Amino acid sequence: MRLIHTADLHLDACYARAGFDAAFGRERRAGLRAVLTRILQRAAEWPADAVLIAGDLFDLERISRDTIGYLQNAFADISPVTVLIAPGNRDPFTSTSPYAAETWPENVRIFSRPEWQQFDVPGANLTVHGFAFDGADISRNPFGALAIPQDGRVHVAVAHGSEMSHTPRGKAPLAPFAASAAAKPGLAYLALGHYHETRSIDAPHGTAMHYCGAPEGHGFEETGPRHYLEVQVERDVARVERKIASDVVYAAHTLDCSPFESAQEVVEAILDKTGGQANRTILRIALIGTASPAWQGDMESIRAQVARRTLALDLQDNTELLEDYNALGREQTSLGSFIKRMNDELNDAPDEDRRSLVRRARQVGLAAYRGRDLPAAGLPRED
Amino acid sequence: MRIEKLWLDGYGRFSGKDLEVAPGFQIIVGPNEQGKSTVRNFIGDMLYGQKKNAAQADHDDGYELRRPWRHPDKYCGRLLYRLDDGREIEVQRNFDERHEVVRIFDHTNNREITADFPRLRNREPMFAEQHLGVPKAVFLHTATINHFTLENLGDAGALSQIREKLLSLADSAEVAGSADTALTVIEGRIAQIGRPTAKSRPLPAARARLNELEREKGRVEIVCRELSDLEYHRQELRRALADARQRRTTIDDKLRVLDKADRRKRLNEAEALHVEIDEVTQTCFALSAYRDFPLEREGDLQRGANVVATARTQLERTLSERAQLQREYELERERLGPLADIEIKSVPEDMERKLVEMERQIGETRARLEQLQIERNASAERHASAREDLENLPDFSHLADDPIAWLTRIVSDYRVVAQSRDKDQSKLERVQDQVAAIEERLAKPEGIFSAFEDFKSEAEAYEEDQRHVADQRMEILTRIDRFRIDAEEHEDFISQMRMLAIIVGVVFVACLVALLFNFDNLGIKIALGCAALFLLISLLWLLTSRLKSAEARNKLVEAESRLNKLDSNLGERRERIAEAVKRAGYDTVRELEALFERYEHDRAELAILLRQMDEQQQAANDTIEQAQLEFTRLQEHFAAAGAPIASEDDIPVAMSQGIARYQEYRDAKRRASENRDKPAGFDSQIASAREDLEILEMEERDVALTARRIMRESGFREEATFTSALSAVRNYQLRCAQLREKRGRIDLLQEQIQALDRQIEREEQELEMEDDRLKTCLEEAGAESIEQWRERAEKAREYSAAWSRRQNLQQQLDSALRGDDLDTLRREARDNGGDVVAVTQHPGDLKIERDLLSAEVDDLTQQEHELHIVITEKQAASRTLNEIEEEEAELERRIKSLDFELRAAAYAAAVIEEVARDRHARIAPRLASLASGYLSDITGGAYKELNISRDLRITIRIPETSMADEDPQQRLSQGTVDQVYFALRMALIQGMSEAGESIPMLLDDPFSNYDDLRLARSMRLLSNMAGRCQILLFTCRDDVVRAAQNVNAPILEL
Repeated sequence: MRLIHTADLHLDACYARAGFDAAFGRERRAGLRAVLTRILQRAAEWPADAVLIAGDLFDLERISRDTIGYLQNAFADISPVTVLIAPGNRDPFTSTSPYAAETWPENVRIFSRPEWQQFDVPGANLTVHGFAFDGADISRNPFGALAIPQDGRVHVAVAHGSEMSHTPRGKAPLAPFAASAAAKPGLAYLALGHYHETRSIDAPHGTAMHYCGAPEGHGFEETGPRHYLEVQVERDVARVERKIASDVVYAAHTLDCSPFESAQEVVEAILDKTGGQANRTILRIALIGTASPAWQGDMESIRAQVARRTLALDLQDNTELLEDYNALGREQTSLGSFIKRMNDELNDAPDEDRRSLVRRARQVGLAAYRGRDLPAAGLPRED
Repeated sequence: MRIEKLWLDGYGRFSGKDLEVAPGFQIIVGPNEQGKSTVRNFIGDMLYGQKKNAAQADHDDGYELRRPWRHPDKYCGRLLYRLDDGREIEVQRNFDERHEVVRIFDHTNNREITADFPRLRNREPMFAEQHLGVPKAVFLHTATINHFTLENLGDAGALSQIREKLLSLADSAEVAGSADTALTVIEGRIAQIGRPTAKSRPLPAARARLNELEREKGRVEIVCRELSDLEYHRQELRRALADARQRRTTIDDKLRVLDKADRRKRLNEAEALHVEIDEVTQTCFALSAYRDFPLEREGDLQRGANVVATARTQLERTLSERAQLQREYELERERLGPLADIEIKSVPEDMERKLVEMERQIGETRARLEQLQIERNASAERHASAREDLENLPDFSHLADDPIAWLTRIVSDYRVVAQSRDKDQSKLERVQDQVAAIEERLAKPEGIFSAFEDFKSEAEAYEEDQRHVADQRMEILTRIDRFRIDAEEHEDFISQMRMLAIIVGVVFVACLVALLFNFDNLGIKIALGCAALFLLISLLWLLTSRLKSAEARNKLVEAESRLNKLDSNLGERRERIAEAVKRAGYDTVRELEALFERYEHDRAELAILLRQMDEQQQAANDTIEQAQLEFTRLQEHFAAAGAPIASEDDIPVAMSQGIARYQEYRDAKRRASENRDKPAGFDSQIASAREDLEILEMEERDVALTARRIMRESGFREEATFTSALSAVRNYQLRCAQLREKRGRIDLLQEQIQALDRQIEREEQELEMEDDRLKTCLEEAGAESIEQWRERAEKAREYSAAWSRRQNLQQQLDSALRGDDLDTLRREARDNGGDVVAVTQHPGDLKIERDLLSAEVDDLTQQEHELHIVITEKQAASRTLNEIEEEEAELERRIKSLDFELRAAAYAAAVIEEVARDRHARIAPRLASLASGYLSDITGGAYKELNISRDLRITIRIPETSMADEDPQQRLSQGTVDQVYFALRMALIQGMSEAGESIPMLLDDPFSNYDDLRLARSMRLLSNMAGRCQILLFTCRDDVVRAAQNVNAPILEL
């Protein structure tokens, strides 16, 4: 028995907090569709007996007609492979949900109630159990209440929820359950969604329990390659294999620029951070340390060079100019008095916001004394 | 700090070169390219190293340039200097980057002190900064004065340039980089980001865009809600559509069942019809002889018989009717009598119309005549009124061609004069205010300095006295010290002699006692004699010392007395000066002198102002007189224009009145002109109208005569009683109509009789024709009579009925089969067999229901399609919330970033402004004081006062004037400007030195524009300053060397 397990695509998600321009959001939403298309194509070619989607296929608040149309066509294209969807907290099965309101292809089965339901996959000795979130939080938690009949069929389940011993930090628990309660004799595989990292959960009764993770990252907190799972069940034993789902990876790094003597060195060091895969990397790089005057003025050029080679770039310049502010503060000049005042304020600043402001004011003031142009994000350069 | 010795082991052109420099003023002389700058750089590099800045370990650009020419690897040197506290420090450096090292030794304490100093981020030990109290930049740019900088001065705005340089040095220790410049740069940055008032700058533009997005988001949210509603509606439609389709399918199933039953029923019907058709066919065959009988002519035959009978009856009725009419006609003629034969003539219609038209025209012409008469009278009245108005208004035509322009011009002329008067008056008041202000300012110094006949001389005498007294005091104090020492020395000697005399006296007594016991002992005698002699000498010395001590004490007392007397010698002058200083609220006489100078300056200024005030008073009087003359003239003009004025305040009102009067005048003139010729015009129009009226009346009379003649001829004698022909015509027409009505009845009867004659003739012809047609019809059917024709027709009808029935049955069969053939139905009946589900509804009802459902489906499909289009259009018309929120987020990030930059820049500017203001205010007084002294020394007192304001603005008091000039290049030579700058630079360094360690000055030929005298004075000044700090003067000029020799400055040749 062959199964494809994916979840947490969050189609039509909003990327306002990603830190990029509006075009980025459009590209990523298109990228997510491409990822799902590849997974479904794989399901058709393998061929899989069923595709299990363990919730959060889309964001209900933002789903567009276009995306609904895309899903209907994409699922229809892989017919007769059966697609089983267990709606999650972001795409709950409500009366206004596209799951309820739209007409779905024959090969799509959507669990519609917050209690265990089962579908027999046509043409296969397979029964899939699942349930649906009926709102942002499920009205009753069905984990632990699954009954598996001993009927000689292969039984698997698909669900959205939080296995409590593996909850990631900061992730809100939804439909919480313990692996021991969810695992049942005769249940070969439990396909889980909600956690965006791929996780394998130890469970009793020979039940294989896996979070497939999001098939593409949704931000810089989800870095590195992302996966979907290919599952083969033979004699009630599931063999699970991770497959890379997305061509795009998020990467967030910090780079100490103090040793660099030229802009080119900085560019190369940044690109090194992408492991040679800059062209498929969405990169956030925070430059820290001291910036040599030899290249500090070329920050925009550095940004442009790296941006050309990466998929998207969020470059945060937190470097300090290579200056000995203590020495400058000792000078018996107005500049010295200015720097000393700023140094004192930096030491006494009550919070990081104030420190940032004073630090920047110090840079601006020093550059002004020296008649030097100090570039700022969002400002045209005056050559 | 004073540099003592330099070892240039390997540095630039020098290898193994040692230089020993004087601790004070040292001249280092050499032609160009002999290494003066190299030595100067060596000092800087030895003290502060060669790094680019305090944070960078990289070497500066001169590193390679200064590498030794001969032995590049030996790039090192030593420097020995002595601090003000006496410690001798030696610095050893290896500049070569491969072996770079710096070591500092304290020779006074014989230890290495390199580790005692913290290091900068570039790893340089901060020994020089700690010893001198200034960092590298300040030392290099402030303590070094070179000729290159000075050569750029002396052109326009020299003091401004000096100020700029001074500001830069004071603000950033750089030759360019003042707080003002920095603030300008930051202001530019703030403007570039965009103040809140700006529109096109990035920050306000981003904020505006964000507001737009907020509005767009609001719109899109509304669209989303609408779309949601539409989607819901669409789902409802879809459900309804599916339901309708389902119901239609059910009906289709039922219809199919009913169709099956219907086919079976039709088969049965068809079988029965088939049998019946066979029977009827046999009957038709039996009657086939009558098949072609013209049954269709039966109607014609019957109609022909009826027509013939009817025609006969009608003819008889018409003949009877004619006889009746003939009788009525004859009766009517008898009743009318003779009027029956009179001819009635009509008045032609166009004649009546013409009469009506002419009557209307005559009426109109008469009305027009009256209107013209009225208008003529009105025009004559308007002309008279305008003439009367003109007589009551000024005759503006004699005043000016364009009276408004003329009035405007004379008022404007007067205003110019009045403004000139006011301006002079205002100037006078301003000068009076200035005089009052200066007089007020002078009040206090006047009170102070009035006590002195000549304060300046007295102050100079006081200063001279003070100097003299100081010299005397110093001399007396020296003598007092000497007398005090003498007295103390004598008192010490007295005590010593006293002790010696006691000892010698004891010895003498002891010798005397011994002699009493051994009188003959010569030795004792000798000892006694010696003791007596020593005792005598001791006593003599004691006495002498006492006398000398007393004398020293007396001299001491006398000197102290002289000292006390010396202070009292200053006496009255000092008291008066001190009193003046106290009254002025100052601490020093110098300040009082400055006050006196200001007082003098104010007095001079007051004198100038008083003179100006007199002149201004005269000018004001002149302009007042001129204005009065102009006003009188203006009054005359306005009186002529009918708007008299009494005062200046009346001018605007009079101007308006004058213009109004002129407009009235112009209006009256226009009215008189317009109405002058109008009555004559009206008279000619009235004459013309009268002529028209006469012609019309004549024409009307002709037509009326013609009409009356016609009426008389027609026997209408009453026409003579009508004065209006039109009334007579209308009455005649009425009479004619009544007569015609009576004669019409006879004419009508006559016409009816003639018509009946024609009808009788026509009916006789028709009767004959119908008879012929009936006979033909009987012949066609082979019948001789109508009865025979009817027998044969009965048989033919039987055949036809049978044949019709057969055809009817055939049609019923076809209808039952409905396009199918009988065999097909029989076969289907055989194939289907079995029972058919019973459907209770009628097929017609079901079909109607199905049609309704189809219509509903079509309607719902159409609605769903329309909704789909609406939804698609709405979606396409607006962006998604995702796109808007993502752009919003991007803009918010941008605004945050720009706002941060703006706040940072504003904060930096505020702090820079504050610290610069504080620093400038702090250094300005001392800088002015020192620089004034130096400039005075250099120029021999020609320029003694440099004023520096709190913002380091420089003014210089020009000799022989009381003017402080900010832009003195018109008066100062380039050399003097150089000297001003030099004095300020020296003062800046000196000011910094006063705070701590003395800073050596490195001067690189700053005297290029000095004359010999000022050069000599500068050398003297530098020589004098050498006591306070070391000065190394690098020069290639012989005149400088000679001047230096004159002040005994040591010369070191490279």
